Amino acid sequence: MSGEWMFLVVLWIATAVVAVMGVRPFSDHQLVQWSLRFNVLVDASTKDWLSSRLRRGRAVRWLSFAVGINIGMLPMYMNVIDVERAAEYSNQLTAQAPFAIAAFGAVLAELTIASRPSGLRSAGLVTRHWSDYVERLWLVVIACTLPISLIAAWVATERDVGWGWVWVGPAASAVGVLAATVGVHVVVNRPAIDTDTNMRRIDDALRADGAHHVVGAAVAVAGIAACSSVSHALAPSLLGLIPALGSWALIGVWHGIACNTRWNVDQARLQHA
Amino acid sequence: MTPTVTIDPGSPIPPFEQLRSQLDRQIRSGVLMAGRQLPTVRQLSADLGLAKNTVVRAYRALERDGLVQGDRRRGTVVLERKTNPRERDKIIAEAARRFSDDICGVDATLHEAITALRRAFGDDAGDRSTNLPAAR
Repeated sequence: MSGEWMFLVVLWIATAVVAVMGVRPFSDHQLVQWSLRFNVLVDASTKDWLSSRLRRGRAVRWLSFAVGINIGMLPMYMNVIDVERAAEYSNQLTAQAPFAIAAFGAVLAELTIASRPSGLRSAGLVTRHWSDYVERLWLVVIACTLPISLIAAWVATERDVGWGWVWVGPAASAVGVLAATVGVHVVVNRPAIDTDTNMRRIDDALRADGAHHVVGAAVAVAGIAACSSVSHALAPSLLGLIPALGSWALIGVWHGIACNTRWNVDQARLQHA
Repeated sequence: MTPTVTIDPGSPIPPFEQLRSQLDRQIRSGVLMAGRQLPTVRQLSADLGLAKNTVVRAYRALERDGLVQGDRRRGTVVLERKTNPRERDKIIAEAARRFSDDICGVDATLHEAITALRRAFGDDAGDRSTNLPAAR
């Protein structure tokens, strides 16, 4: 077996691991961790329903990421199919693809779990704001990446650094901004589950969870795109390495926002009232 | 306790009127206090499974009645109600007379009438029912 095929086998194993991690059942321990993160009470009557709903959302997100990884690794496939054309596919577009598709998956996960109310329809008369579900700072950060990428792309064009994919950075930042805007909009405006006090809190927690996943992925795609643009604008100076390293840090930030941030919707609502 | 509205799709009363009357009652009874922001049209229409126009119509009707005010920045906000005390007493007396006429029509006792009134008042306004005298 040649080296190219070995790389592909490793990629397929990695894809399979990501896919299995996404679709595996939501364990009791994970559910307890989730309820502690969002300060909600999960009782026997809601446990199964909630596990299945969280699992569905996670499956969509992780499967999207698995698809994204494979698109990002297109140059490896080309190494096997047509080695002479492999270099054509090793560009910024394929490098940004896993993050952009992950952000798309996070939005898709929020769209697919929405269900329209049926029978007697109830609604609480509390206005939902996006700042009830996620830290404002992250949306400001995402919005700031677009002008940074644009300026960096313009500088790179002016300096004629010889990089043919200079506008991919701003485009990927725009994808991040779009994903955050659409995702948060979907999270805030999808129909409420129920008006019963505990279900309302679980509904809010699900919205906060979804908003954190969407915003985390959007920070990653928009931030990495900005870092990549700045890095190329600074090339060939060694200073360009700093934003390149920032890209790796942003993957950690993504994980931190999506999986570790504790959030209490009632408290956020009181603060923003 | 979060105030809520409920729409019954099987009811002969149109959803617009169900929504308007529930909001009207909650504002007049003080459950929704002055300055409170009502949910956006998009949010309420999604939660209740109604068309946006239905919610817009209900909000406009409440606006015409002087109960809420639509503001581009703040959304729809409950207005402070300035009721003339004499007018208020008149409204209460008229409502009581109508209620009394209806109750007499079915041979109900005062005790039954007060119990029904307490229940109706309590259902809609929670602890406000405690302000009513005990039925004898």
